[in-house]
Amino acid sequence: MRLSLRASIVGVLLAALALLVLAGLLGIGGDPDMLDIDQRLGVAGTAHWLGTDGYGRDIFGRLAAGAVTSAAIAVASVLLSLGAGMLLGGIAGFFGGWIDRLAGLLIDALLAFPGLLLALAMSAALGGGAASVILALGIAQTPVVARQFRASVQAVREREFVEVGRLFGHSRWRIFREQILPNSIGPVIILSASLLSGALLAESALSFLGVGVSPPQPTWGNMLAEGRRFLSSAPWLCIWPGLAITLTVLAVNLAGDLLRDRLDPHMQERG
Amino acid sequence: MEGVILSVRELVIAPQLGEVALVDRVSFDVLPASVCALVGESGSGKTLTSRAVMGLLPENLAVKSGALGFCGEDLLDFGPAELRRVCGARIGMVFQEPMSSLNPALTVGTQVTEALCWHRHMSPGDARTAAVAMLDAFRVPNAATSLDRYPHEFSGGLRQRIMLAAVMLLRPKLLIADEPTTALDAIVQKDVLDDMVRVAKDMNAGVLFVTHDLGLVERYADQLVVLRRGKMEEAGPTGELLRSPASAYTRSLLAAAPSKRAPRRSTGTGQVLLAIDRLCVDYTASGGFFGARAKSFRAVDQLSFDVRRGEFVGLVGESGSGKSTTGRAIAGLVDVAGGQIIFDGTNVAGTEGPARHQARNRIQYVFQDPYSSLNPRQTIGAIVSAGLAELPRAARRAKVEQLLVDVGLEAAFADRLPHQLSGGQRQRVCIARALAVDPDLLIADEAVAALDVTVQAQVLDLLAALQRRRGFACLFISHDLAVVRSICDRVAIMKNGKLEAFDETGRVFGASGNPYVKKLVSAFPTLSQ
Repeated sequence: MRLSLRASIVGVLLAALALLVLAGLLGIGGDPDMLDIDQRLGVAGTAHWLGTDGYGRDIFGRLAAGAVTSAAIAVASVLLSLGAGMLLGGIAGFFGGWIDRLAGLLIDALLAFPGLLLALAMSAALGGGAASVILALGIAQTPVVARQFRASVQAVREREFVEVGRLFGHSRWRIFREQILPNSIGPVIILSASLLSGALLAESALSFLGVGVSPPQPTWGNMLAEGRRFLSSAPWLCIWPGLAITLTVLAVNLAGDLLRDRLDPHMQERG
Repeated sequence: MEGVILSVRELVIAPQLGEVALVDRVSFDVLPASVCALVGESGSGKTLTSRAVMGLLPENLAVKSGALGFCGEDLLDFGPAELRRVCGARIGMVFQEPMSSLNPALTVGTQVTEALCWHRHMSPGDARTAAVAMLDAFRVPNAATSLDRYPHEFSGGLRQRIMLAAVMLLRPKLLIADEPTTALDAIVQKDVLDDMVRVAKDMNAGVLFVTHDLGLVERYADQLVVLRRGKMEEAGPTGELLRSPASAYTRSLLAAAPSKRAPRRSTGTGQVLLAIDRLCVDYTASGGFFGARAKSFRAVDQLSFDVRRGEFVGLVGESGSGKSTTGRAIAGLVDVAGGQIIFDGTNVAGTEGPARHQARNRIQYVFQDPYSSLNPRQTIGAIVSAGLAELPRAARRAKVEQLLVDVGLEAAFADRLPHQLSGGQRQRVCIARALAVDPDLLIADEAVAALDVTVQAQVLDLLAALQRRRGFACLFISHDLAVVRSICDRVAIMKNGKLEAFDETGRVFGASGNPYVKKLVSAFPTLSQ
C-alpha cells in the first residue's frame, strides 16, 4: 500500500506541474510581463490569483511562465549531460585500457570542481541566458553520468553473454547495442531523476545569484531573488516560487524512487 | 534412545504463513562416531533440515511439527539463549564457502581460540596450546605460526581445515558439514574429508554430512538418507542401500552418477581438426598510468594436443590449471603469447585477424554458468538466433524453434526470458545457440558442473546424441573425472598450465605412469557398485 500512496502523490504533483507548464504555454492566468503599478504587492484575489509582485506583475502568470523556462532548462541540461556522459563513460568502460585511463582522468578532473561552482563559473563566463545555463548545467553534470555509466558498462562487459557476441564475430557496436546497453542503462535512468531535480535547484540557484536567466524573463529562481527585498512586507512573493521548487523537486525524486523499484531486476523476477 | 546423538523425528518445515511443507516428515538418527549423509538435489530440503538443527532457518520459515532430539533433550524446546549455549559448544557446523566463513580482518588464532575462551572459559594461553594441537590434527603445516596469520594467506583447502579445527576444538557431540568441500578440488577434497571423519570419530562425535555427491557418500557415510522435494525417499546403511536401492528415485540418482554411465561410442574419424602446438597464454595485470611495469603470469605453458573431427577430447585439471584459459584461447577470447592454434589447416591464434574471423562461427563455446551466459534482457529466441543474422526473419524463427525442439525444449520457449527457465533449461538454450551456426568444434567449459546430477546426465546424453547427428568435435573442459571418463575419447590432463598426460581415455585412467595423474584418479570419488 505504501507504494501506491507514493505513486499517487507523485501523480498529483506531476499533474499539477504539467498544468502549470500548460498554463504558461497558453498564457492563462495573466500576462507575466504586464506592469500594473497601482497593484504593487497586491494580495491574492480574483484579478490576480496569487497576488502581484513589486512591479505589479501577476505572480501566477510569472510562476507559470517560469515553470516553462525552468522545466525546459532542466530537461535540456539533463539530456545534454546524459548524451555527453554516456558517450564518455560508454567509451571509457567499453574499450578500457589507455582510453579508459584518459577518460577517467577527465571525469575525475571535472568531478574535482563542485558542480554548482563549475556551473556558476561557466554561466558567468558564457554571459547568462537560457542557452548558457543549459550548457553550464549540462557540462557540470556530465561527469556524474559518465562515472555511473562507465561503472555499469565495466560490470556488464565482463559477463559471459558479452563474450558470446565475440564468438559470433559481431561488431563492437552490435555487442554494445544488444548486450551491454540494455543491461547497463538502468542505473543511468534512475540517476537521471536525481539529475533532473538537481538541475531544477541549480537553475534556481544560478538565477537567484543573477548569473542565470536574467529578468524580466521569469524563472522560479529570479522570482525568489526579486521577492527577497519584500520578504517582510509581502512574503508570498517568495513563498510561491519556493513552494513550486520544493514540490517539483520532491515529485521528481519520488518518481525516481518508483523508477528504481520498477527497474530493479529483483522486483521484476517476482512480477 | 541410548547412545543416539541426534534424533530427528517427523520434522516438518514450512513457510511461517504457508501450508506447503518444504521438508515433510523427515526422520533419521545420527549415532556416535558415525557419519550420516543427507543426500539430494537442489531443492530437496537437505540444507534446510541441517539448518533447523542449529536453529538457523531463514526468518520466513519455521519448524511446524516434529522433534529434534539431541542427547536426550528436544532442541525445539530451547529458547534462543539455551540454543546459543548448545550450538557451537556441543553442535558444530561448517559451511560450503571457506572463503566467506572466516573473518578476513582477524588473525586465524583469534578466530580459532575465541570460542574456547567464550564457551570453556579458558585462558588465552591454554586456548592457544589447544588450538595448535587441533591444527596439527588437521594437518595444517606450521600450526603455531599459522595462528598469527590472516585467512587470505591460506588456500581454500587450508581455510576449510582451519574452520574444521575451530569447530572441533570445542569437542562437539555433533558436527554438521554442509557441502564442506564442494568448492575444493578433488585431491584437496579427499584430504580434507579424510581428516574431518578421522578427527570426528576419534572424538566419538557424530557427523551429519550434507552432500549431493553419491561418490563421497559411499566413501565416508555409514548411514544414508535420500531426500527428494522435502520428502524422505529412503534411509538405511550406506552399503546396503546403494547395493539394492528400494526407491526408483535412488536408482535414477545412481544411474545418473557419471561414473555409472555407459561410455559414449566414439565417432572420431582420425582426421585432425584442431592442433595446438606449444601454446602459451599470459595474463597481464594492468600497468599503472605512469608506466609502472605490468606484471604477467603464464597461465598456459607450452601446451600441445589435438582434436580430431567428430571426437570428444576431455581437458582436465584442478582450478588454476589453465584449462579454461586454453579453451578461451582456442575460441579467440584471449590473446596468445606464443605457439600456434591450427584449426582446419590455418593458424587462428589471437583474437583478431582474417583467419580468426573465418573461424568465428566454426568454433563455438558453452560456458559453465548458464545464469551469466544468457543476456537477461533478451528473449530466448533472440539469444538462440545470435549467429543467424543472414537468414530472413521467418526462416530464422523456424530454425530457432527447430533448434529448441532439438535440445529438448518446446518451440514456445522462444518468447520467454532467461529468468523464467531452470538451470538445465538454460544450459540447453546455450547449447542451441552454439549449434545454430553448425560449428565444427564445440568447446564445453564445465558445461554441466553447475547442474544437479540427474539434469547433468540428461544434458550429457543430449550432447552425445546431438554429436552423433551433427558430427561436431567437442573439447570438453571439466574438473570432473567421472564425467570426462564417460563421454570423452581422449583426455588431456593439465597442471599449472602444463600438459601432464594426453592419451586415450582408457589408458589415462587405467595405467598411467604419471604420479600426478594417478593421485588425481585415486582422489576422485566413484561409485564402486
